[in-house]
Amino acid sequence: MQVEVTMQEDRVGLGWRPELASAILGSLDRIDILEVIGNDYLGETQRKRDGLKLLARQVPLHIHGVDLGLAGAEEVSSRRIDRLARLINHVQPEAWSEHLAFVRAGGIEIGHLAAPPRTQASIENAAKNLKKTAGIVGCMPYMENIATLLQPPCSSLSEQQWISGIAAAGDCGLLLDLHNLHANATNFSFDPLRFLAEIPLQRVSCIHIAGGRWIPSPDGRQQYLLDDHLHEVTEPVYGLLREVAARASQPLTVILERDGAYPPMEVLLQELEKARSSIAAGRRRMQEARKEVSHAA
Amino acid sequence: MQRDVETLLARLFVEGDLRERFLQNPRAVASRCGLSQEECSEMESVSTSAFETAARSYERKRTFKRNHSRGVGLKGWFRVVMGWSLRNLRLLVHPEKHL
Repeated sequence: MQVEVTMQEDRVGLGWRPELASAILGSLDRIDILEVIGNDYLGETQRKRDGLKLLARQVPLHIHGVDLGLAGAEEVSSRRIDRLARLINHVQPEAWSEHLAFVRAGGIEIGHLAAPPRTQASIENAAKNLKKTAGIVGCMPYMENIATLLQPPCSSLSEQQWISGIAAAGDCGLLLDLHNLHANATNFSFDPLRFLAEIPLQRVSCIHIAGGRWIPSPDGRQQYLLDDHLHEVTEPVYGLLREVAARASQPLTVILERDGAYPPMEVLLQELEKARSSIAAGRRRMQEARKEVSHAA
Repeated sequence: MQRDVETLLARLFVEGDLRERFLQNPRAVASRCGLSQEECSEMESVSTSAFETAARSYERKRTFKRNHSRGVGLKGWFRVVMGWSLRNLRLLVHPEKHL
């Protein structure tokens, strides 16, 4: 029996950054898709938003939100969602995404993504926020797992249970950040493969890959792997990408995130090629496994 | 309550003084912030080292964002001032065109 695997639609792309703009536009034959940080355009001129819209006509584009805080205990303000919705409706991207995080509480802005206590209550609240957001924007975001240096206190669920719970309650797709997974697995000593086995991989359509660096704790006694997006993607992350490609049969869209210390464009393009090879290797493994099963049957 | 825990975490990530007091006596700070006994015990078990590392990381992110937005703001103001100056320069050179 011929084994069918939908590998032909896998795509590999890059996070759009103004510093890389001309290099990206000159390499679109090697980049399948771009991801734009939506918040960078919220306060921008109409001209820049039109530019983004034009870009979305030329190449598949995703918008990535970073400050709604959909997994927080507080209801997300309609004003914040409205601003992002206006951008999304103007640009008409293929999809958009946000994070499984809170970014503010009690009127205090943390300034970045933080992991809330993983409880049934936060699952229910995240689902409410997701429904409200999807109602305003017009479609559900893909929700991304975050990296955290601190295991959220007062949690009663594992990260896998929590993510699965929100995906089910909110009926949303997942954006799986493999460097975040790698960093958390390293910092908290858990098996990332088990993590992959325990989340609904069938909901994962988008994947982030990135690099990070080791940082010491202030007392110098411990080292933590920080997800900084300033370094090259390491082998464990490509290994996880192979694993996901071997386990999830749906098409995957992989985005390389790089936020600074930019190397020459050719280096980034080589990282994209490595990602393609990793997906291909995973797909081959899946085909072989399926062949074995069909032969055994 | 979830909301109280998140508010305390946000304050600890942002307010250095509170963080110092918390690291010395987590139960007392958590209790004063309205957390239940169970939540206070959980907060007590937080790794000090991880907490400080996370707080520093958030601090760096905030500094980066502040500097970034200050740059954008300055550029914006520069554009406004230059635009105003050019308009007035034109008015001085060709006053008849603006009558």
